[in-house]
Amino acid sequence: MSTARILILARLFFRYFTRKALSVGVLRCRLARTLLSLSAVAGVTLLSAVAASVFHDMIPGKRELFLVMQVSTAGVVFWTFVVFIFVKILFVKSDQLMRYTMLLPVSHRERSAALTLYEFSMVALSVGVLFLPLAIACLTRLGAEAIPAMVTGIFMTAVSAYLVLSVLHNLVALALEAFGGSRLVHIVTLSLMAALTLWYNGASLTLIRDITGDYLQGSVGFHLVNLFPFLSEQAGWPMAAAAFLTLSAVLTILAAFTSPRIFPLPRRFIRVPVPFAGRSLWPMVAALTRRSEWWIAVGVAYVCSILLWLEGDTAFAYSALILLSQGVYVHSAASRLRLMPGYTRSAGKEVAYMLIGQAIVVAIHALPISLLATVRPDALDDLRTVGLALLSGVILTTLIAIVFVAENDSPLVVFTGYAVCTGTLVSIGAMVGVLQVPGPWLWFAAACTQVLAVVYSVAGMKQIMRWKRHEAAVPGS
Amino acid sequence: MPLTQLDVHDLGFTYRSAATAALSAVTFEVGPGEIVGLVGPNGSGKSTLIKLIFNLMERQRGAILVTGCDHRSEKARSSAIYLPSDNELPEFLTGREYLRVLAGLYGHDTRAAGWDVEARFSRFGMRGRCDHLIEDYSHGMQKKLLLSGAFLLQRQLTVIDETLNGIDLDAVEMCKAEFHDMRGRGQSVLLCSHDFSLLEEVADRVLVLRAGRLVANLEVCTELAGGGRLSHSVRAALGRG
Amino acid sequence: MKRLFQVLNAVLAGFVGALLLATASILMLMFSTRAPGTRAVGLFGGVLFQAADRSDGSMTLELGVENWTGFVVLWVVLSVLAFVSMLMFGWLRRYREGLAANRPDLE
Repeated sequence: MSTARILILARLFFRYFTRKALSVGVLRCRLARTLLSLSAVAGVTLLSAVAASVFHDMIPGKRELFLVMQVSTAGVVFWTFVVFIFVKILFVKSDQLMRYTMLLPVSHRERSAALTLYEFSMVALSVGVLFLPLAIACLTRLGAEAIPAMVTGIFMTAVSAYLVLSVLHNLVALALEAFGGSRLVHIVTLSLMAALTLWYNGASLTLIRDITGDYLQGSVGFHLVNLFPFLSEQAGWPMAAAAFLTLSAVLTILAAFTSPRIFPLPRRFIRVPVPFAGRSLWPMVAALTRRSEWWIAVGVAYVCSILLWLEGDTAFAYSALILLSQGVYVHSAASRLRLMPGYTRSAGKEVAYMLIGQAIVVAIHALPISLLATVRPDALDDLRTVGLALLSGVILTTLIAIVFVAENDSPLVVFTGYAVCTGTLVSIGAMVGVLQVPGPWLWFAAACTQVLAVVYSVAGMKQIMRWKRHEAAVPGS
Repeated sequence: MPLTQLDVHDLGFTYRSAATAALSAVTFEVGPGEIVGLVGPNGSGKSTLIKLIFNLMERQRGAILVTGCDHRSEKARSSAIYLPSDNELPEFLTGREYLRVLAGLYGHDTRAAGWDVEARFSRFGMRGRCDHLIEDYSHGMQKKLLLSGAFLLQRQLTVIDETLNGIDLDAVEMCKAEFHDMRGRGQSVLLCSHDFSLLEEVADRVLVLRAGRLVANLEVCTELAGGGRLSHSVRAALGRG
Repeated sequence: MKRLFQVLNAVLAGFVGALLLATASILMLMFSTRAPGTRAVGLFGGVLFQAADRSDGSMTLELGVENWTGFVVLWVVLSVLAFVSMLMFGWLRRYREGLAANRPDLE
């Protein structure tokens, strides 16, 4: 293994993903990039100032800081999960780059090491930025005294969580490889990781409650995520550092030895049988159903609904909403169909096919979740709400798919699309809440929004079609 | 039957970013049962011309008739098929499903005689692969699938944009035989290729484009008479002789 | 069709603008100081805010749209403004294109 080659490859990954990220929408503009960077710096400064002002009253001494750090370990682990999955998705979507690296004179171990280096940097950077205001506020309040608690609570926890996730990921990949399912590695591992993240998100509330309970009783309990702050409190800061170094070394060796022998190239589609071939809607339904990511969403939705159902929670029906996460791909999924010889369809018809196709696929796959309600009649009310939310979601995600076209299934575009849509809906929801708009008017406005979403989807589709035909041409020349 | 399968008259086109026209005053015809080659250096306007014929870009000047109808009409659309140079196929379909969807788009009855996907795949050396996802096909196999679609649908006009590049020799031979059969049925082919030996074997005429202008319309038989080579004639037409 | 979409866009922009202004007015009324229990109205009488102490020590809040006519008038005014802005923007763009067509050196 050559360190120089690993670094060259890791740099290549950095350059590729940075350029990919900067090639999305407004980020192509230098001014927009500068403004966004300035906004990010201003945001972090503002949050740090707010946190410092709050902590001024809340953190009189080390004991309270210790509680803050203990509680933040739950958040650090959650965000490590999220960033880990996001980076894995980025790699899955970049199979061209991975294929290219296979032509380079590097061994698989070197490629894996470069990937790990890149992943680790992304996780460290993201978690670092997310918890920067907290760290600055702690430093402002307590000075250098706060450093050990910050290092054990944020840095050590994030690094260990990342290494544990890597080993888990590799073990699942190895198991699949052993049973001849290496092409399903990404679907299965990502489904498991997503389900694990959702489960952890639910469990973290209990975790925080338990940690706070321990604090109120004047004791320090061990809750796995708070391993290093716990060790630091019980046996001192050098002991926690020694434990961290030992654990990191063991996990790094395990991660290196469990890394799959070959990089599993992602399989983007699964040949699931789709009935009624020959119907005009069939290609659209096949395009949506055969995406491997669709099955990740289905797997996560089912696991969540079953877990909630077993817990006796009527909210299990809401798990069906996870299926909507794939709606933003409805336009790009069928983009190759539009390139077929003889394919001519008006914008209105195209949008209708996208809406109906997505509605059919979502309804069929939500059916098993709704069947769970037959043995839990108290969940029927929730089921009706979920039905309406799914219908509305199908319409809105189709609009996002047209406004933010996820070319090459770009997860960055999808993320932007969802962020903008969620931001808009939450802002309007908050404004409507403050204005105390009467219920009937709200229903009327919701119905109007759906109609407008369809109208704008058709207009957007027309615009895309026109742009494709006219993009290169000078009118009237 | 119309007198021409494709009639391009005074076609002009300028790209937004370009100072000069990509196509200017291009005029030619392709008759029934004719196989016409389209050659020219990279950037001479071949792909632009084909995209305009299939209404994939907005025409700016001139007229295009496909089987006697305006190229934007429904009848023109269903009479012609275009095989692009890049393999942008719906990879979530199997080969058989792709051909079925294609038949649906052209309103072609898949129960009609001659629609034998298995046999077509076997002839292309792809036996047993028609129920595999296109995602699993190699580059050459994807090209063969595109060609299979065109040969099964048997349109009046088939336009092939360098699709024959990258397929094996057996498949090229099979394509030559298909072109021969198509000529017999009165169907026409516009074949965009840099393979002069192929054009010498199958084409009746060769159109030469240079910087968006049609600079020569060569009769292949005439050019080959007396031991001449098509490549030499084309080079001469391009002013590089 | 293009004009219809311009009208629709203007109406939507006007609605969101009116919503924003109404919400901002209520927030300003919330954070401005006045005697407890005073009924405060804003946006030309369109929105109201009232906070009153109850005998059990809790607090009642009354807020929202007081007069829908004011809100609708604001919506219409903002929509008209948005529509006129769109028309002017379109006219200026066409004017610039006209100038550029006559003077290629301006491109």
